[in-house]
Amino acid sequence: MKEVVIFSLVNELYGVDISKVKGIIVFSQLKITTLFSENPWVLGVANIRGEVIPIIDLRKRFSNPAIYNDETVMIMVLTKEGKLMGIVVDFILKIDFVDDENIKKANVLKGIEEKYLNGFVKKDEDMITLLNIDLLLNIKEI
Amino acid sequence: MDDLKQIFLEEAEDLFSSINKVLYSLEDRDITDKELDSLFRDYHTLKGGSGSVGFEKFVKLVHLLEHFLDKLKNKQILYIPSITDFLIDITAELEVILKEEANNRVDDKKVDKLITQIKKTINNFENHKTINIKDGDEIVDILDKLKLMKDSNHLPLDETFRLIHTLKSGAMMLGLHSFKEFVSIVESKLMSMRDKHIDNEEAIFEIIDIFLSNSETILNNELSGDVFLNEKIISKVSKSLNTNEAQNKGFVLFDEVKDIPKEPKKKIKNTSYNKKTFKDIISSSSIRVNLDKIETLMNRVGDLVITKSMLYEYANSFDDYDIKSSFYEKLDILDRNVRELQDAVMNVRMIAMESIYSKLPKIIRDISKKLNKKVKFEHYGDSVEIDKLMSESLMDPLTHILRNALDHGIETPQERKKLNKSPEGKIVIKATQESGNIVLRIEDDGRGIDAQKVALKALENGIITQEEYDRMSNEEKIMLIFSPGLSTAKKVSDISGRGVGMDVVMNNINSIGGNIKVKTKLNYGTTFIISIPLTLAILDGLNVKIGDYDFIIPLNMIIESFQPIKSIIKHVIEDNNEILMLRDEFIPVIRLHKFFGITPKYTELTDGIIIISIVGSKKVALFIDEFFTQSQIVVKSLDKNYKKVKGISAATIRGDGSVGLILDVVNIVEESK
Repeated sequence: MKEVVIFSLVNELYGVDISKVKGIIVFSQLKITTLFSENPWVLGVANIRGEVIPIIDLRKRFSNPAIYNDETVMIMVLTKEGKLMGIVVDFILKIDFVDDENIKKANVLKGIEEKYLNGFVKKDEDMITLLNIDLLLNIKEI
Repeated sequence: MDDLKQIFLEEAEDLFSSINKVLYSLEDRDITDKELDSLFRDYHTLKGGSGSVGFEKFVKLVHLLEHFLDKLKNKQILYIPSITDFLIDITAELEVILKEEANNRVDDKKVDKLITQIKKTINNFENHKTINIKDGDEIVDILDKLKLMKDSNHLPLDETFRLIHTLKSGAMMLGLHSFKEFVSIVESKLMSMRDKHIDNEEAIFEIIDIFLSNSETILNNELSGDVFLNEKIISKVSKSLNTNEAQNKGFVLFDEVKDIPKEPKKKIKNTSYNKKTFKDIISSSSIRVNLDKIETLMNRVGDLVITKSMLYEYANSFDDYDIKSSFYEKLDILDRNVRELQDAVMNVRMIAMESIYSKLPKIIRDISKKLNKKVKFEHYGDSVEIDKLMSESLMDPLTHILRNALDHGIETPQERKKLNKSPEGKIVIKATQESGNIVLRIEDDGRGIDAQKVALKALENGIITQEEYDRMSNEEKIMLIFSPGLSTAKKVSDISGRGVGMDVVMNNINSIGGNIKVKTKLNYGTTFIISIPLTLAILDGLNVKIGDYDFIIPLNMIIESFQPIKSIIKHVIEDNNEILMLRDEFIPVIRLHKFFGITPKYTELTDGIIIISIVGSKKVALFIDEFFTQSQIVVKSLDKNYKKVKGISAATIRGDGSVGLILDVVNIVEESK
């Protein structure tokens, strides 16, 4: 049994283990300073409670278009490397429990490589893709 | 590792540096009792501490040294200069063993071998005194002669004085401290007689009589290690000699002197040093604080600085002039207080240069021994304080420069003689604090750097072009030693000369926001001048704008800023690079908007602003659109949550809560090449 933050990214539902999540901030409140990165999904850095943290737009990361509106949020996560990072998603759906035995193995899907996924889980009528944040936000990849 | 062990390891580091400080200060001079005491205390504390936290191997070794020092202190073993060398080497070994034992990686065989080695060496030192005395024929001869003269009642003042004086130097040479002390009392007595022209044969007779009847006891006591007995004899003799002078009486105290009861040795041992107890450590006026705690404190001060700039921003939004100005007035007080607080916190993190200096003599000694060179090391500004974190990044460059100075700078004693220099070279380090910077000067009196040779080598290696070579000033040529892949050393040694050093030195110093200059004169020596900021945590920066983006340039990187006029802008035809000709200098222009891929407000150099900065020895002109105010900024690392970013050294938080970027001028210049 684990608790997962479930959010929407371009009409698909994804989940991140809640133990990794350090906060959720409305995107429009962020003041982002660009870092002139060659990776378009690195939006820049923002000041979150005195920490300078990079903001990664996961929608751009998966080569999908990104629309910024009032619902857009940034989820602050702590990676295995001990770095705080913000991931930008369309909106937060809910925080829910997931049974470990219900998690199915991942297949290659929607342009996301298998290694970035922890598996799929069916919740009510929805299919939720569990993301492997540590690999996805590996410092070499962003 | 548990806390106690950690505390001991930190303490041990201090103790080792205290031991080394004494040992390296000795060189060829005699050790004082005070220094012996201090050494003994340090080894003793090391033993006690390591024992209580269970470093068993280390305890065994330190115990041997403690015991040895005890014997030295009590003059059971006589000090000779080679003891210092022995102690230096063994102490270095001890440091290694302690580290190994702390990491549970200690090699039993190695320790056993070391124990045997220490025991053997100590044994040799113990035997040394007997050999000495056999060689001390001169002393015996003089004593015999004096005796003969006394017996024949012929003691002319001049000759007696000369003999006693010779005896004193002989005693000194053999390291017979207590005997020497005894002789010098007699000598000074005779000297005062000579000065007053009192050639009183009778008085001399009495003095020599006393001297002869006590000298044997004193010598024997000294040789058997019972020096403490001598102290009493000597003081009584000295007293009686003086009493004699005042009252012109015989030496009535003489007989009392002879039979001093032998006090139990143990008792004396116990009182002969101050035991350093844990209580002493606790009640001392300083405490040990983990650097992390200070770091946290520093960060809180940083937050305060940010909050302060937020308030300034807020004050700016007032329309009412009166409110605005009175608010600003109060803010200025806050600003001053915050700066003072920041200084105070910084001060906690500061350590004296002494702690850096104390590590250098060992390095110098090891290298100069390897190279067969003689070098005298002097350091000044021991009390100048430096950020502990900075001092760590400073150690490597400093060692490197010293190595180079020893290897390439200082000549061999033979060469030096030919040049009419003293055979002993000299290396001097001076630390001073100059307007927010720590300036270190490392001077040697060696052969200096031949600018021409360096430049030719650089030309040969393709580091510079012929054109550059022709244009370069002497100073610029010397700065070429910092280019990667350049070494003028005739042969590569294991100490230096691979040409991978000086560029690393320059990079290290640049990375902590510092700079190096070199002054050199052929055959007179070289001076490296390293200048580093007091701290990296908070700095003054200039806010600049390129297109729609704001950046900060650290103030210490800026030499000047101006709006250029057309006549000083030159173009290099081949690659369309722009160069500024400023007061006979050619300065390449880096357009920052191009570097970051920003659409600028101005494309003509004459419309925007040029900022002249210096990297290594080379000036560069950074082109920006405009600049605003200076402000105090708190440096926040980008690597902490992200990674190193091209052209950006770090971030900061601005008054409006957004992140500001600090330009990395060194990196920009490198990337633009």
